[in-house]
Amino acid sequence: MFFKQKSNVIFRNYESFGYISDNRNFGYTQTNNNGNHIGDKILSESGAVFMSVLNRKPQSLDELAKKINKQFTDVNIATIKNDAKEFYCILEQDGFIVSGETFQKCDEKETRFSYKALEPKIIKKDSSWTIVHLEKSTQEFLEEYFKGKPQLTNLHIEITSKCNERCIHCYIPHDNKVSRIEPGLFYDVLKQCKNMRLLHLTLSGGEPMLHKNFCDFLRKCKESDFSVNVLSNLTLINDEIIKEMRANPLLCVQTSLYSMNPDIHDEITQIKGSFEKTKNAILKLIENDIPLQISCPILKQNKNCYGEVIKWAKKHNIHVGDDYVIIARYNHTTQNLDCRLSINEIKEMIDDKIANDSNYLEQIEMAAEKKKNITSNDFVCSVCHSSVCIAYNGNVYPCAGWQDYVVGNVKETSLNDIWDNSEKVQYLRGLRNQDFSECIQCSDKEFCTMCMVRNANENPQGDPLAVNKYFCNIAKLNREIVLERKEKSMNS
Amino acid sequence: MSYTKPEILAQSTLQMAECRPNSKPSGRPCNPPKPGGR
Repeated sequence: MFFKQKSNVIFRNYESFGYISDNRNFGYTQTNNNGNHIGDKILSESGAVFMSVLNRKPQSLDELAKKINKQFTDVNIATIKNDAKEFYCILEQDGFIVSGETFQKCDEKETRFSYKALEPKIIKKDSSWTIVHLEKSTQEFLEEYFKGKPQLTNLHIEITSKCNERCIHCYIPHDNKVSRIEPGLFYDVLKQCKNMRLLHLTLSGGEPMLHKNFCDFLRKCKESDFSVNVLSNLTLINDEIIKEMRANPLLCVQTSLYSMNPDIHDEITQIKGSFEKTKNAILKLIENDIPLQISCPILKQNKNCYGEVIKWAKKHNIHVGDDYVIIARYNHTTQNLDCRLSINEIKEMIDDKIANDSNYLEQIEMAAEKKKNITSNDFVCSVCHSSVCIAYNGNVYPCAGWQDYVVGNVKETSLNDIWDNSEKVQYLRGLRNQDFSECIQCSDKEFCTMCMVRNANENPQGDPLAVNKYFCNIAKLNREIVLERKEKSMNS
Repeated sequence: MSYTKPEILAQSTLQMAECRPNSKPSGRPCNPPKPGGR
């Protein structure tokens, strides 16, 4: 009997326990043989040893038992073999490992991500998630184990601020798109991430493929077993990059496509010919079965045609994230907001969505229903609770787009030290809903998601607590739409 | 380390709410976190 860890499963050994997870947050969702989401698990101390001897190449049960036996020398190998078989079978049933009678059968049993095999129903959809608890959820376990201390799991690295496009809505001021990270600094950060048992890295820019070491960076991320998301316009893709991307089964790409009309897409990027390059690159990634998601920010320029992007993507089994939320530049200049939809335009867009998507209204209602349980003592958002960002120059900042709120610099202080001790990190981490006093009694609060970067960037003083009225109006609009529709359906 | 039969101590198929930095086109996280930081 042979066993191997599935290539799209992440394992982290904490010595006194083990953590295994699918790549749920960053790629397409995966299900086990029973059609359930794979999710994550906490393994006991010895379970972590049993898991740690597996790798992504099949090994026989005998080989594995010998490796385990080295760590438990006082135990009979037959007992280890029996326990290993039983344990691995449970993990196989739940979708984390695969087995086979021979090396080859085990290796072939695992199916790689493929767009052809991707049924629309299993494409990431928030509302489809279910909770299956053992006695304790991983969340509860980790909370208890770390005594509530936040663990850094995701890092967003801006490997270069340079970009070959000039998107009109970009939150990075065009004048600041000038430099790239030193490879030595990148590798040092990666090493620190490994020690901190990080799960996921986002490589972003600017345009990350403009960095001459981009392929080396991808290779190193794979060697370190990180799940990776690449945010790129894909206009510079080549065979070497594709080969490297294919080599990491934990890699997913996110690219922006604004319209299927080349003129409109190019008007937004301000680069003639960019549509063709991005569209062709998307097709190339599909051909190579590299997981990809499209972002489609909705702006004045594409408000009448973004739906065509969604239709095109659906045809190719690609998930699209469309969103009308545009934030100001991090230097507090707001010219990029000229392309942002007005409240009336948002109303038209939502009405249109409701007319074309029978679930849209229900989704707004469900999201609002969930927010009823939020209390004034809850955290405002995820900022500094599990993720943080690093700029090309080593500056650490809390959230993508908030580059001028520097909480430390990895050239001077270790990432771990910044995460644990930076005063600004502590401050942001300590904020609660009650710190936005004007929001506590707001009748629209269930239709609002507080976001400090959008407050800070649009505020001349960069104050994250200065509530952005544009988003208050959107919350109000959403509530009115839901109430209006409810009234209509009651009367009909 | 003394030997015990390997076990699963906790599990969940719930999406880790706060760990979705790329769910928004702008690449920003937006979900409230749980205290454990996962």
